[in-house]
Amino acid sequence: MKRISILLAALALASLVGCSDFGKVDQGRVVAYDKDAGKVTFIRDKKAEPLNPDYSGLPAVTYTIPTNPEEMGPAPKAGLRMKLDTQKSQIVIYDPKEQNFKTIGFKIHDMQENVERDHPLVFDKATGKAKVFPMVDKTKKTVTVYSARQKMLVTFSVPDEYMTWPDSTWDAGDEVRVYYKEDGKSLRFMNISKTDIFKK
Amino acid sequence: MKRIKLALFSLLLALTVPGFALAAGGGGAPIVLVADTRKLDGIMAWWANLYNESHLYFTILTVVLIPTIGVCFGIIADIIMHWIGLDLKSRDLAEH
Repeated sequence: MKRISILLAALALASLVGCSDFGKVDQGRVVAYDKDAGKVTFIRDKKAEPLNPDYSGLPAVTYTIPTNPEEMGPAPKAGLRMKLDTQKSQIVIYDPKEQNFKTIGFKIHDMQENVERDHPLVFDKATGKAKVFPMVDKTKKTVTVYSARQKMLVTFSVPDEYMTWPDSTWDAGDEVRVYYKEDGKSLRFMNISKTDIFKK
Repeated sequence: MKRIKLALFSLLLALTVPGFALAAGGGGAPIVLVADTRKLDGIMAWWANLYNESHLYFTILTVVLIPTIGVCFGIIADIIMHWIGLDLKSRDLAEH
């Protein structure tokens, strides 16, 4: 009995050691998500530093979502905002038509710093839900965005030509990570932005 | 026969108790995680890749490794205690 147990453990370890046909991991910020087609497009993180991602890897890459629904995390939110630089008063967005980044200068109307996710300016305690951003005011021609990473709530105006662009232009897409073996075909899909491992 | 019954009962407990606990806690949406292996190499990369490849294999390896590491630490502790003069194998009473 003892010998059989040792043999089984040895076999299990041997089979594990034999596992070397591993896949790869890719990470990026989502710029497009087609639920019906099951495809997600994101801008790749170039630095691969967990605390300091750099979403500037072009061209955008497209993956099909896993066929097994258990391997798929929360559906991603798409957005075109890549970088919000209040020092230079510039916003960098991804232009899907040109498949390139576009840097747009803006005029700041209001800026609140150190705004946590539960701050009354961005979180409605009465309903227990976060307020929806970006807020686009077509009459005042202003855009209000909230960056949870930068803890910043900024209201700015952009040149008139951009006011016709969809609201998602000013929103940052979710950060996602995929495990894949074939290019463009994810085997497991994690939505980093919407995954809180400490939440029960 | 008694051992088989005990093994089956243990298996039944192992399979059902987490379910009861989950029901008591209200369950929750499953969490999907992908380990970031992009900057890992060596054993760490292999370990993280194994997690991404198969949760089952990762679990088996963890279950095998924990007691193995425990035994190794125990043996090392025995050697160190023997080396510094602690003899836990026999006990001589100092006072009578």
